[in-house]
Amino acid sequence: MSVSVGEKKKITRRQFLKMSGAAAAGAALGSVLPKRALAVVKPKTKKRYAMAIDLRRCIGCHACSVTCKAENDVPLGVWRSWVNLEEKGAYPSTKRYFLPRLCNHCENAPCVKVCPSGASHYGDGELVLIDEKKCVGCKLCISACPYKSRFTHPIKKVTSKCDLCRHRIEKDVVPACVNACMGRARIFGDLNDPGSEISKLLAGQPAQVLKPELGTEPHCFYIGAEEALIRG
Amino acid sequence: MTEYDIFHRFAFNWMIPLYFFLGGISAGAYLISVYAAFWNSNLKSLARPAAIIAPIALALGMGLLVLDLTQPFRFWRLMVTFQPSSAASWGTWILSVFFLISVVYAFLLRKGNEILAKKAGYLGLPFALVAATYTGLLLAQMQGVELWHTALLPWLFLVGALISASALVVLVAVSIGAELGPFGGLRKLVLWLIGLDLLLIISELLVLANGGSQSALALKLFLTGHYSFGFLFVQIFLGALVPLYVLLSETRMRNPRVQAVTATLLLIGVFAMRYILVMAGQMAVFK
Repeated sequence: MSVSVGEKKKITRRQFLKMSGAAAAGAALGSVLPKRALAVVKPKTKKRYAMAIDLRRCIGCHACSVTCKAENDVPLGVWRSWVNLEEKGAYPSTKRYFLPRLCNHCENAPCVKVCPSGASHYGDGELVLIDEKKCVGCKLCISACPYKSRFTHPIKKVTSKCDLCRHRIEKDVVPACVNACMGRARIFGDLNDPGSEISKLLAGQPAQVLKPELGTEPHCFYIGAEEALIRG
Repeated sequence: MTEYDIFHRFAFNWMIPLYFFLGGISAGAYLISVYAAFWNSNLKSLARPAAIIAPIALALGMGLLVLDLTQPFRFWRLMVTFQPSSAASWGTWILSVFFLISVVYAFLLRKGNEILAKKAGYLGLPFALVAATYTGLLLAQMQGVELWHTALLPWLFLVGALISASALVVLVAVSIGAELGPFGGLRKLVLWLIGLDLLLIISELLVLANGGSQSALALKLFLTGHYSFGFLFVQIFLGALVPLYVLLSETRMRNPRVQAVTATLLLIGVFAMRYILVMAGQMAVFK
């Protein structure tokens, strides 16, 4: 559609402008359309990491708690990952329930909202992360977290919590707790990948999150949880 | 039924409530000073002591705030960033501006420069209002804590700030032997404020009584549990009802000793309110 120099001499200025405008519009349209079509076809590359915990398979062995301590050098008295235990009923009809816990990596995280220094932030794969160099230790996020998964690191003197073993998942290795779980109760993966194990599991099973009424949109799902255990 | 759970330490100890208390006194004293200096000529003698209390109380409070950080030497990081979603970040900036204005205002008032002092005083009013209320907003922002997550909190903090500041101003005025009216001329104002405070607390309790399980736990802490003595006896009885009764009589309030005792009780009551609110809020959370 471009106008050659020879033709340009024969046409008026107005005609030339009209033609070049049409050419520009055509070029713009041409460059937009294929891209749009491509975006529909191309799979989403952005990851949404999540953890599903199948409580029907959890035997409360605390392997996840222990391996997390070892993997992340978590000091005494504080935990990135732990298991709640609850006993229900009266003898002889009693039952024990386990609830493995970790940072819920909320999509609408109260801890990120209150952070005055910008240390708490959303990282790659929608993880909620703490920039330890930026953290001043005001502890607002510790109070704000509805899941009580944050604590002051006794040695580093900054706020710390589960980061889903970011150093491992960056290298395509599952978090340490997932690796250590002998019942394979913990399933880690990318929610944006419909073929991932976690996506398939959550598509086929009713799952619950902790404190759904707060609208924090946690990325930590529980399968087969007793209602009394979730309610909190 | 046995239960095993991991508990991490509470985030806040006595330092944060004490900062809320001092910050409230500072903002309240500033508001009272401007009111006394330019709006009510009967109270003119209160303007100067109140103006001096404001920056001193704020400096002490901000000092506590820095000491409470687990990384006190990184405090400067808050001054090189602004996080619009965080009430604490807004507070850091507005408090810094308010501190500067309150220093300038106190200085101008001391020099007797009425015109400039009035300008500075009016300029600082919105900052003082924010300084008194943002501490409440800071807690109200935490949606996971039902006791704090209420729109009443900033106003409870503002009323408490005005009560505690009035009490401290009167205490200072009495101790320097200033000739003033009943309760430093602030008798009626403080009476209204205590009434408003009780009203806010009652509506807060009524809403808590109709809330979820966290609210029920908070209400239990207040009325029959761990903080029932502090709440019912110290905060409500000693800190509000006794001063309310004593303040009702104008003749009683002419006695400097009664004034001093009433002011001290009010201060204790306001600190108790802040302490119990912060602690009970941390306690009344499941998981």
